[in-house]
Amino acid sequence: MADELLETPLSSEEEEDTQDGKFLTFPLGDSLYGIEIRYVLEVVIRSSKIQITQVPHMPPYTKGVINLRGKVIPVIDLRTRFQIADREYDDRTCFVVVNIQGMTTGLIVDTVAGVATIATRAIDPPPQLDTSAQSRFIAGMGKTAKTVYILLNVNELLGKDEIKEFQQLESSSAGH
Amino acid sequence: MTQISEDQQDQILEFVSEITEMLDSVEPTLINLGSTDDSEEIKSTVNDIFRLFHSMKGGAGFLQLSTIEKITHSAENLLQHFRKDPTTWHSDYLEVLMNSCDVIRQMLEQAKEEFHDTGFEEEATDLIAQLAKKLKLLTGDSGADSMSAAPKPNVEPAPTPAEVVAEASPLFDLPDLTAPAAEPEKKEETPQAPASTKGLGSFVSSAEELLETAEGAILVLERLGGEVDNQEYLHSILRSFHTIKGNAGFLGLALIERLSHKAETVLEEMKEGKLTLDEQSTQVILEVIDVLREGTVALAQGLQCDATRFEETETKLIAFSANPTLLGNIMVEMGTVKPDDVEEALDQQKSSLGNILVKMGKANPQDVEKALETQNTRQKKTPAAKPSSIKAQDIRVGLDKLDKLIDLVGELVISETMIAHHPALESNELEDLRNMIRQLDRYIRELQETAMSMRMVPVSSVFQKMVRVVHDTSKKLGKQVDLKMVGEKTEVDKTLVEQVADPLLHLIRNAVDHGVEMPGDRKAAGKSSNGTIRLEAQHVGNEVWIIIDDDGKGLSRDVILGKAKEKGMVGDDGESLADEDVWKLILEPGFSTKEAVTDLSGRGVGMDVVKQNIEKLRGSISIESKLGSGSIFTLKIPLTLTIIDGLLIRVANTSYALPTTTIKETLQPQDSQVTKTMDGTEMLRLREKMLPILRLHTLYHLDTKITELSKGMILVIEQSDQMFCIFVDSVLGQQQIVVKGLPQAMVNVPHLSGCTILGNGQVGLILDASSLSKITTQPRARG
Repeated sequence: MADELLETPLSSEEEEDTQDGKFLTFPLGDSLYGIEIRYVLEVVIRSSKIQITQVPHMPPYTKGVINLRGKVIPVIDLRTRFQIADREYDDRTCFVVVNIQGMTTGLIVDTVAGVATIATRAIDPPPQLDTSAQSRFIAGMGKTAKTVYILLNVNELLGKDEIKEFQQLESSSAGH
Repeated sequence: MTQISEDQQDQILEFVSEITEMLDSVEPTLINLGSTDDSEEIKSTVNDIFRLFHSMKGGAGFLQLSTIEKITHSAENLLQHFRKDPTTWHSDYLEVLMNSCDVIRQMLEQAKEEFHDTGFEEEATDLIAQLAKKLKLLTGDSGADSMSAAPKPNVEPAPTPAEVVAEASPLFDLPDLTAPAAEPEKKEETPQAPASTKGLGSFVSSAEELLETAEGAILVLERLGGEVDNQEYLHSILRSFHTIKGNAGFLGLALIERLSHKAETVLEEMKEGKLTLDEQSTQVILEVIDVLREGTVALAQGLQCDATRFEETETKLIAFSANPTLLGNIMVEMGTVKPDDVEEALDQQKSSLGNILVKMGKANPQDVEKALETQNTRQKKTPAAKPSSIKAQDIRVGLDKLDKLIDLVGELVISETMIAHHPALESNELEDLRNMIRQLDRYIRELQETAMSMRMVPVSSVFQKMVRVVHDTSKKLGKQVDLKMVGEKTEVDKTLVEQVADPLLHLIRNAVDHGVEMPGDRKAAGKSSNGTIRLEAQHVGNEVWIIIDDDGKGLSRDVILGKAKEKGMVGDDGESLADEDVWKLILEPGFSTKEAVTDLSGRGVGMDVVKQNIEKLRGSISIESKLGSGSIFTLKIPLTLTIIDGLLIRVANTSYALPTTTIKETLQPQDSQVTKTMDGTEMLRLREKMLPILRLHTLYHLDTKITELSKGMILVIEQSDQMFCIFVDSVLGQQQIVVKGLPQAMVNVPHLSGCTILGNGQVGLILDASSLSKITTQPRARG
């Protein structure tokens, strides 16, 4: 299993000193995103061994469940979630396993880039102009010398209420 | 409240679980008190309850749960009165005691989460006032709470053993405990080990247990002296005293230590045959037990032992041990000496060997003192028997550890299945390996059974809760109901016990509310005015059956059918329904026959919730009833919930599983068997039956290539006497599956009861047959 863990800056920079200001970063479409490292449990590379089991009556971004060493966890495709064009999964596709409000969940991303340290003062509030529904996923804009990361509001990703709404919609339309 | 260490948290959790258990077992006996006037029974029950409150108080005091401590103390004061004089007991006192239990339960619940009991002061003050009032009624005095006024230990310059304990444990005031007995030479000998406060609490409870053991053993000996192995019983008594002695010595409880030591000596002599166990000696030993018991009770209350009592008994023991029937009595019998002479001689013998030696001029007092000191030190070195040796057969294990074990066994089963199904094994050359795997399989199955059995607990804990339910419900309704319990020791899975509690509660309430008639009506019907509800548990095959049987008025076919028609649940053809189908109507949602909705039951939601909960456990309910003579509800629930035999099926690229018990048969349908109605419902003709077909791919919007019925497979499902078909792509095979819960975000997915990990490591979804059966039976609103 160890070889499934990514040998990226994640492990080398994990100096156990502090997790504050550290973000796991990954590209998705044209932008770079960041998730606070304290939410991240591990990063697992998708392999042929890990098959996603589709679960019915779930919103489209919930791709199903996977078996993570005996534990069954739901997986969410961030592209679908952010309404970015779909892309075939390949051997670079990763599950970023996060703990959101006590629930272990896998986030499906194209690949992971590394870990960036972003000081609190370098984080700008989310753009106020953006009125799209997607803006609630943004916790802030993290600036480093070279790039800007879209820092994610993890608690919104799971969308507990959305799941309920979706299921109510499904079941009311299911009665043919 | 200050910071609480993890240690303390553990202790609180342990305390809560212990006390909850005790409450569960004692509460029903308390309720029995309401209906008895047998003074013996009252006495023994009051004793039980007293002991419960007493242990609660001790533990609560130690854990600084002061509200609980105060309530229990007041309750104890009241109970103490009934202990002394059972005739003063009256069922009027029941309520306040039960209220105390209730409030304590609430506090325990909170303590479990938050590790303190604050926030209940109002209830507590109220209860204490009530308890004091009741006590005042009994005694006429103020029943002042002596606890709050309990003095702090008097710290004298030279620490005595007791003070060391008292200092470590401000909750138990024992400054004078050892004082009357403490010999000068003992003062210096403080028990070195830090006498922990926990030690005292557990000493009291273990001593109580040990004394009970000893008492039981000696009573057996008294009754059946010649017929049993005396040595064994004597040894058990001896061991009890020995353990008490060791522990008491460790805690510096000199009075208790000395008395149990003397008792031990006497028993040793008995074991060696130097003394015989007769009526007289039995009496003395029983007295020793009583005195020790009083002593420990006093200790736990923070009071001091009655030194005079201890000394008197000790004297009796010494006299007894030094008065072997072998010599004194024999000589009296022989007429050689007069009884008085023997007494006198004994008095002499009573003064210690040291004194005699001094008197004889063979030693000087200093030497004797020194020798005594050495003797004491040596005695101290006798290792205190470990408490664990008392109950070697039982250990408490956290449920989380057990769950972990069962989880791991589950994983093991999965891994083993993966290996056993590995394609590489199909080669002919690997016969050996295949045999080994079969061997492994047997062991794993056995391991699995053992692991599952560890989670098994008797249903008594749930049953006993029902005593209270029956009591409360019947009282509220003015009915008289006896609850008879059978097979409480029947063991079922721990989670099952928890999940069956609610449905049982509903059924019992219903039985009291709807089943049993008012006393007057019962008499008019020629029955005894007391109704009887029998609650029984038994194992039948792989199921546990829980039977609720009342001798009430039974179900009325006409009333039920009338109601069902009114609600449109059955058509005019209802008359042709068999009785058992009529009874089943009361389990449907929204059905309630009670004219007036009471706050106890009959909101019309109870019974269908019962049915749902039982079906969640993959169980079923059957009802028998006879108008005028009562109803029998039988819950049939499979014993294990976590590992089932499943049939694996596939639709599109997803594997599903169904419990094999629900599957009647699987078949590949022919087009000629299928009829399609105007609204699109497909029916399969299976021999003489027409069964609706449920397409799984349609239900779940799955994209599959197999949409023609004749290309796929049909599963014929029977669930709660309903038959229907499920259409799937293919059947993969039968396999033991370990049921896992769905991730939290997915628990509401319709028609799924869980998931499992399959041989290939993929996740399979477990279908819920009972919820699927509802789709096919629900009237369709539109086409």
